[in-house]
Amino acid sequence: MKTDFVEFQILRKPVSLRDIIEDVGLRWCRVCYLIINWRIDELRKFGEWRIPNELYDELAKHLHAYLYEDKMPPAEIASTVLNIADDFLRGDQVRLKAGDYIALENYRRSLA
Amino acid sequence: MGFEGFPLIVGWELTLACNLRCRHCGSSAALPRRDELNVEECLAICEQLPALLVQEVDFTGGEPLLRPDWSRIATHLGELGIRTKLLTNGLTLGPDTVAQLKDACIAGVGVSIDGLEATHDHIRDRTGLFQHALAGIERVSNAGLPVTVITTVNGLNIDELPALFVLLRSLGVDAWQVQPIFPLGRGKAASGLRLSEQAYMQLGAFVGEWGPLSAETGTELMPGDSFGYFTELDMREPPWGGCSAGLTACGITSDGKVKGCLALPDELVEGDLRHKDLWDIWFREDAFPYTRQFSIDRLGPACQTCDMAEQCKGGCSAMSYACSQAFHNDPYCFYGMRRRDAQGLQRAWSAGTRPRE
Repeated sequence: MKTDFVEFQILRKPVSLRDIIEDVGLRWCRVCYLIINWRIDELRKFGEWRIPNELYDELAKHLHAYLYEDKMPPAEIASTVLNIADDFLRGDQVRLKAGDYIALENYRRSLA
Repeated sequence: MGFEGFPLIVGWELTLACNLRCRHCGSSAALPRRDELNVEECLAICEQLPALLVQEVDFTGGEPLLRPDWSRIATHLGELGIRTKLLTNGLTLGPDTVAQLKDACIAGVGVSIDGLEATHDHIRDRTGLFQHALAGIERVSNAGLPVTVITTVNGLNIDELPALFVLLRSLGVDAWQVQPIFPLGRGKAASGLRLSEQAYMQLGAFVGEWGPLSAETGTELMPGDSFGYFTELDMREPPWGGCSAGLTACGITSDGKVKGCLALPDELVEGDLRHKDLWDIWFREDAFPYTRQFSIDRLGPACQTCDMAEQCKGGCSAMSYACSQAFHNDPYCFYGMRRRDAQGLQRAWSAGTRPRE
């Protein structure tokens, strides 16, 4: 399913808190894609983007810490992680806008 | 909020060295640049591309096949999941090179053919090159690689397009890209090459008439940059929304400089990959201002009274800058030419002159 934003696409929605815990504890999302709406007609031929593993791991780490350990994410990516957590807890498809992706990558790069 | 696009297509000038001296060459390719990237630097740049969501890299030059390590770079891009295409003059497309192209998983090969035999060889100032290029195309095609012929349409070959199309179809060429000549480099000074407004309209009429038929023939006819806009002649193209330089595309020169498009002059370099990562250059706040900070009041005289200007943003940045040393002022525009004619205005550009300032 394609939407308007750069996004993660979650293939299995959690149906209970237990499922959420299991999902986050193991691998909170089976497959991630990036989808961009900028001049979408031109870009559709490229299909879907699989997000880089390093970025995925960084995001998963902070999401896990927020949901399980009550740890706020670093300020640079706090809004991104909280938005994703909200989507996740609602059982919605998790979305990551282009700006959030850039913020995450900037954060990851600042750690390198 | 900062810019949120990505360079999905990257043009990469692997070297400025070339074994030909084509009269129309916009890069004035001949010798390599003074301090071209070594292969380790190139491979390190490749590593930076996935985070920027780069989907395709197009090798150009100069003649990219003159770089002995081109296949290492292409192979590494393939390992990173990035599709790579290569544009060549066809002079070195022997059996060994074609096998290397296959091994390196090159997704498509573009070969320059700039007219029928006499014209093509005249532009290169050497006889026999047309046949040489055709033999190379045949080898690439027989190897199962998609072949695109790229023709720089100019004043010498504009009348040869129908005959050339017949020839290319007979060769089984997959696609034919017709690119209006940019008045850049050697192409700026060479006599008889620049397209007059009449010749440009002739190109539009050719594409408009033959384009719809082309898909059925197996050789898709497609215009290159600076072809349009907003008339029945270009109606098969996606609606033009402005130049993509610095928005969804960028270029890397052989010495590691980054530009919005390789057809833009070196004075418009945005950064140096020897000193900064592409991520930092791409997302710098004031990068690529000519497309990212467009506003109506930046339109040049050729476009400022046009009712499509807000969508068009003044056409192709490289053509505009080549013709007038200003952006948002592309004189090669079917709509603009007709509009000026209909309003009895002076033509913005004709062969041998520059647009009105």
